[in-house]
Amino acid sequence: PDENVVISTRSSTRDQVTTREWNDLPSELLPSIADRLGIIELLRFRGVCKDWNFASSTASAEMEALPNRDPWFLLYGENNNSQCTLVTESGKQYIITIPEMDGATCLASSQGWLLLYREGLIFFFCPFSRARIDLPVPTKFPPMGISEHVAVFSTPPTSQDCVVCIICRTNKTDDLELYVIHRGATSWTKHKLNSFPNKIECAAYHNGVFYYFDNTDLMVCFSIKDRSISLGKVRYVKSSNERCIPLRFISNVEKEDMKKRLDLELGDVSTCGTTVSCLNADKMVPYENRANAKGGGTRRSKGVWFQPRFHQIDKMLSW
Amino acid sequence: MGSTSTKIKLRTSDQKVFEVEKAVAVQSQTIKYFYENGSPDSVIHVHSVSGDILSKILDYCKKHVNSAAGKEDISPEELHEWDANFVKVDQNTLFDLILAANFLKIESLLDLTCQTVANMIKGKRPEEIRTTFNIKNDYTIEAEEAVRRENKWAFDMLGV
Repeated sequence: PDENVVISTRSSTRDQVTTREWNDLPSELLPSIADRLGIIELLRFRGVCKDWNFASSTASAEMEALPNRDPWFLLYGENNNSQCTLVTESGKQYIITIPEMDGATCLASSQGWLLLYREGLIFFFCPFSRARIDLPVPTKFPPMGISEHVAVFSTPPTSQDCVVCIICRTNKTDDLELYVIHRGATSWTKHKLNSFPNKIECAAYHNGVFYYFDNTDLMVCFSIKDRSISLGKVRYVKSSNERCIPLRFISNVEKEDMKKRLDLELGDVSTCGTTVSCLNADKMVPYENRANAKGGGTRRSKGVWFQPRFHQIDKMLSW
Repeated sequence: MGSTSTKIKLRTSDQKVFEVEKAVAVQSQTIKYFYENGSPDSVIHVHSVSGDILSKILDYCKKHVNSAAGKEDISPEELHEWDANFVKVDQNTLFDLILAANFLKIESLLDLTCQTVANMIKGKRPEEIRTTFNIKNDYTIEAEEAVRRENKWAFDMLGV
C-alpha cells in the first residue's frame, strides 16, 4: 500500500512538554465554547481578551432558557434613578445601573428581551448587552400612559416574523384595547374588546395566537392570521391524550417559592410576567398590575421576571 | 464478517502507524471521507495528530462504537461517567484533544471537550481564566475598563 493520502495542512508537531498557547486555539472553536456558558460566565469570557470577546458575539447564554430554569428578577424605577436590583436564579442580589430602565415600564418579557415603554417610546431591550430596537409608537396611545397593560411578543425581535400584541385599558372603562404590530410594519393596528372589566393576569403566545388570561377562567385570544379577537373559557385537560394548548398557570407553591427567593420588600410593586419553558407545558409567570390608575406620571418601583440572556444585534438592525 | 473486520491504517505526526477497525475509525468524518475517496489499502496520514493523542481518541471512539452496537453492556450513565473521566487530563492534552477532534471531525468528542473548557471557566474571573489557560490580555486598559463597565456586577462577584 502506498501513502497517497495526505489530509492535513497543519504540520506543527506538538510535544508533550511545551505549554499550549490557548490564544492559538482556532477562532472557529471559540463560539462552541462560548455557546455553552451561562450569563455570568459569558460576560466574564468576553473580558478575557479581544479574540474571545469577538468570538462570543453570537453566544447568548442559551442555557439560561433551558426547560425549568427559573427566571431572574429585576427591580427598577426606585428612587427616580437608573439603579436596579438584580436577583439571580439562586437568589443572589446585585445592584446594577441601567440608564434605560429609569422611568421605563416593562410591558413584556421573553427570552431575555424586555419590551419597554419609556417617555413615549417603545423599544425592545436586552439589559446585559444594552441592545435596543426601537418600535413605532401607537399614535392612539394616551400621552399620560396606559394602565393594566400586558404585552406578549411571538418570537424574539430579531426574527423576521416577530409580532407584538399589547393589551391595555386606555381610559377608565370596561373596554380593553389591543395593539398589534408585525415586524416591518410602520404602524400598529388597534382592536377593541368591549365590556371586559376583569384584570388580565397571565399572557402567552402559542402557535399563531396570543392568549390573555383573566383572574377568573376567561381568556382573550387574538389570532394573528385571522386578525380577530375571540373569547374563551379555560378548561383543564384531565388526561394526556386530550388536545390542549401547552401552557399552564403557576402553582401557589411555585409562586411562594419565587417570592421567597426574591427576599425583597415588594409591597405594591407592579410586575411584568413572562413564560418559562417547561417540558410538557410552558409555565406562565403572572403579571401584577398594582398601579392605582393614576397615569404613568407617578414614579414607583416596578419589577420584571426575565431570562438572563445576552443578545447582541447588528447596529443597522431596524424594525 | 467481511466488512466488520476491515482495518484502516493511520499514520500520525510522529510516524506511528495504527491499524484500526473501520467502524471505529469512521467515527471521524475526516477519516471516513478520505477512506471512501482514496484507495482502500492506502495509509491515511493524520499529520497534525500525535500518536499519544490518536491513541486516546481511538479509545474514545471504540468505547462509543461498542456501546452503541451493544457489544459492551454499559448504561448511558456509565458512559457519561466514562466520558467525564476521559477528559480528566492535563491542559496540554485537553488542548490537543480539542484540536484533534476538530480536525478529525468527531462531533461528540468536540462537544465533550468544549464542554470541559466551559466547565473550567465557571466561577473564574477573567484574570483567573487568563492564568488558567495561559492567555495574553491584549486589551488596552481603556478597552478592558469599557468591557468591565458594561456588566460590572458579573466581574465583581466571587465565584458561584
